Amino acid sequence: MRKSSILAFVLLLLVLDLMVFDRIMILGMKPDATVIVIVYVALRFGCVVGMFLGFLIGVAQVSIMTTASAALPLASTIVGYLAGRFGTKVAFESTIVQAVIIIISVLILDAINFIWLEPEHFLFDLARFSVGSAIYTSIVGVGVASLVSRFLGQGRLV
Amino acid sequence: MRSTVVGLPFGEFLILAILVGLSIGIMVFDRYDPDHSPLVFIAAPLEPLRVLARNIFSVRYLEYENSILKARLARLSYENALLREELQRRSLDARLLEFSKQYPESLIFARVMSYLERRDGGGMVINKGSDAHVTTNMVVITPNGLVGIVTKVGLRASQVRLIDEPGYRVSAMIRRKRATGIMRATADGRLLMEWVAPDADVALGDTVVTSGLGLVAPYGIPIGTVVDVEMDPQRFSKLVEVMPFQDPRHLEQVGVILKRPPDFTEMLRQSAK
Repeated sequence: MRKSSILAFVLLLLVLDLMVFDRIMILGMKPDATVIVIVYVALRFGCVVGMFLGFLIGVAQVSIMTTASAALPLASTIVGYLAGRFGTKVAFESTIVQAVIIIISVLILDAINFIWLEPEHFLFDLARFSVGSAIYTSIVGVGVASLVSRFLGQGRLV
Repeated sequence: MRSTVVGLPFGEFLILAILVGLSIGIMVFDRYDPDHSPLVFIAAPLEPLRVLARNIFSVRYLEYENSILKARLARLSYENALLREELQRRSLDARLLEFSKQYPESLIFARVMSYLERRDGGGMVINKGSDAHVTTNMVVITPNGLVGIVTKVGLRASQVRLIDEPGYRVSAMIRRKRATGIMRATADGRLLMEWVAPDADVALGDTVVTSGLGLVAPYGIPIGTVVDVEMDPQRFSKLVEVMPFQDPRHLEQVGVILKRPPDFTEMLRQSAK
């Protein structure tokens, strides 16, 4: 039952990412749908699935989008692993904990990307771009997860 | 439990190490030898997806560009409307300026501020008053003809009685045959020229202008055209209905002739002395 919820969740996020997220940018920041997907899948299925999914999503992004950073597979893999490894050891059923996990995941992903792209400015870039984006992503992620859980009536997503 | 997915001790770490190694390989190839990157081989079967992604980005960019162009179009439309309004205003000003040459040193322009209901006294309010030397009984005109007469004067505004309002009278003349009469407005807003000589040759379409008699309105200001002629048996004169050249209730700018009508009482008193 929860697998169908996850599938609906991923599909909904894909649709939102393609059609909605670009329109709800705040100060140039938009929610990172891939991080939300990786984190929730890792929390639900564990770190092995999480890091495989992260790696595949990263490779797909780099392969399809010419502008994507080559560090995305590494960053997404590590995010998937950490979310599955350590996220499941805390009370991840709590909405606040889920939000904190997403925030940390976005910061890790962006930190790896910035170190790879511009190591001399990565702290500045992280503070300038990633903090707001991480908070925004966590709000959207938790919100969409709550909506899916409520409308499917199948209990919590994770 | 999760390490059993792999079935090996430290299975998670092994998979992590492999994936990290592959990822680092991708990064190294991408930086130092992008032409032989494994991503080139991975991307080959994903070419349709790449095309799809490019199209999606193109659509997004077009949407973005469309929104910018729409905003620019709205701004240009607004500016165009402002310019057209300015052009129309300047055209009106130019016509009034040309017209004012007929009345050197005695015509000022005024903007129409509002039109009053009949219970409020009727007529229009213009934005020139006693501070612009406007006084009562001054004639208000446009290049198209007579508008009315000033009836009340404030410091910076005046009230004008329009030619189609009851109570307004002016001496008029059929321009072609020089036949004179008194123009007045009926209760329903029609203009009637009374006291026209019974033998006057008045035809439909004749132009009616002010005659200058009575010295209130100067000679020659256009009023309208003749649309009906009939005999008034009670007064033994002709009754001429006139259609005004303009609707005095749809004006933006008018001219006020600053020539004061003569004070006949004062003139008689002085001649008696």
